[in-house]
Amino acid sequence: QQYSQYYHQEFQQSLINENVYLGNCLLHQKISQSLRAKMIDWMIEVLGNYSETTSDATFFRSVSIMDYYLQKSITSYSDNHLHLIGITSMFIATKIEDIYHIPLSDFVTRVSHNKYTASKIKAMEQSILETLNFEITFPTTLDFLHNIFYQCFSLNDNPNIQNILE
Amino acid sequence: MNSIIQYQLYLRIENDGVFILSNKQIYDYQFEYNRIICDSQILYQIKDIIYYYMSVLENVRYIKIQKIGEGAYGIIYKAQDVQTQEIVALKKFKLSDYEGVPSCALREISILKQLNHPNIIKLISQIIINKKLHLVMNYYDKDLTEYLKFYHEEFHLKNIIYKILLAVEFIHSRKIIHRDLQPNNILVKNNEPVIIDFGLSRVFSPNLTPGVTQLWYRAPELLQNCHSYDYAIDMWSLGCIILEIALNKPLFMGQSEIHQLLLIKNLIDGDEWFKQNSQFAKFNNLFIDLINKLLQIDPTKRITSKQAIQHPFFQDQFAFIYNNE
Repeated sequence: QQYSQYYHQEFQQSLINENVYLGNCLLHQKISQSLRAKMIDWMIEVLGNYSETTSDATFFRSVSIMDYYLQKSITSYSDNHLHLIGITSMFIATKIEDIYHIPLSDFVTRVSHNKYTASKIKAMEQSILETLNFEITFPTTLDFLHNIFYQCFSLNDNPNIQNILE
Repeated sequence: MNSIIQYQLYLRIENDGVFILSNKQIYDYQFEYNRIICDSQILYQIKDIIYYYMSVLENVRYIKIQKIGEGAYGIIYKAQDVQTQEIVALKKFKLSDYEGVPSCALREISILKQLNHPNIIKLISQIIINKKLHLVMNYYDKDLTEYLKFYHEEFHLKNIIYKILLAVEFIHSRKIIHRDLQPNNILVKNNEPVIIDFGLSRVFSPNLTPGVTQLWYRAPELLQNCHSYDYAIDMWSLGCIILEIALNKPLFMGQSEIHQLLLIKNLIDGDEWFKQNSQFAKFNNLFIDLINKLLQIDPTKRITSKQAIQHPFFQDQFAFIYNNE
């Protein structure tokens, strides 16, 4: 299908231009590497419970938002803050990527088990969005993977556009 | 300075206690002021002095002048920048109590941040005040529907079509689908079009909602509830818009999704549909070819935005929409 093919080529350029390096995201933070890894495992677990409405992109977006925030934030966070940041990143990511996003009440009751109130998550959301200056659609790891996949096999990720000419 | 003090006194008489303001009161006051400015000539005359006081106080940068639009997402105001005297458009989002920042606002802001193009609206800044999210954008007073009500030279019309295509090509190359292209979302100033309203647009993904775009400009694959469409839906909307520019009236005016599909089916029948219709007899051949390529029912056969730009209709300087003979 020529359509997707052409846009894949175009998109490579913006992948290069808009890439954000997130390798040193814990540099200014007092958060340990292993805790971040644990957090990401937990994210997979949480988003796995919502597999009907969320996609892979949601998970990768959550991780990128969390890393980018930790990298850009001026205040340095310690281990016990990471939980709230992770929950809020998932909340933002699901709103961007999904058709029906996970409601905030679910995040309060089912995900954080009432550890954080809705107003706390909303305050964190504002803090994240203001720190990142709303720049949250930069390419994630998944986009690079799709790109490599396309390069290797010349397949596009959306093969099932129906032919409705009848 | 003397005159300012006099006016200040005057204002105190007009609206008692207005100038002893806390931040909260300033916003209450703005609404009050907006209402008064419509009927009181005196207050209009001392507008500048009010602006002066507003600018002295911190946190006040924009003063709402009037409401220009309202939608499901929120309200749009015409406003003036106190510091630069520029007229801007303020888009206020209703922040719901349950979901924080609405997802359409999130998508709109993050997408607009990426797009920097002369034919796409520029996001000047975004501010959160009193838990309400405001987007500050350039102000344009005319949209494409209003623009077309007046007579315009074909040269300008062709230029507008070309500029819209350029902007859409730019959007698509960022892997973004606009999903709400319609004449109301294209503003025109000095014969230059500007695309606005990215509230429905999003980054391309394999699974999407079909309920997007205004009904008259909705592509047939959307009408058939297809969940995995792509950039081609924007090209269909563009085809409808371009024909609307040429015919000066909307092409398909369906009342429901079924009616809309029927209208499309009635018009586009076979490969030679445009030859049978007398409406299109006055159009240039190259223009008809472009329309035919845009209004393909099969989304895979529709041309891409890049191919549309390179279409011979735009290469030929003397090809206009209508035949000159």
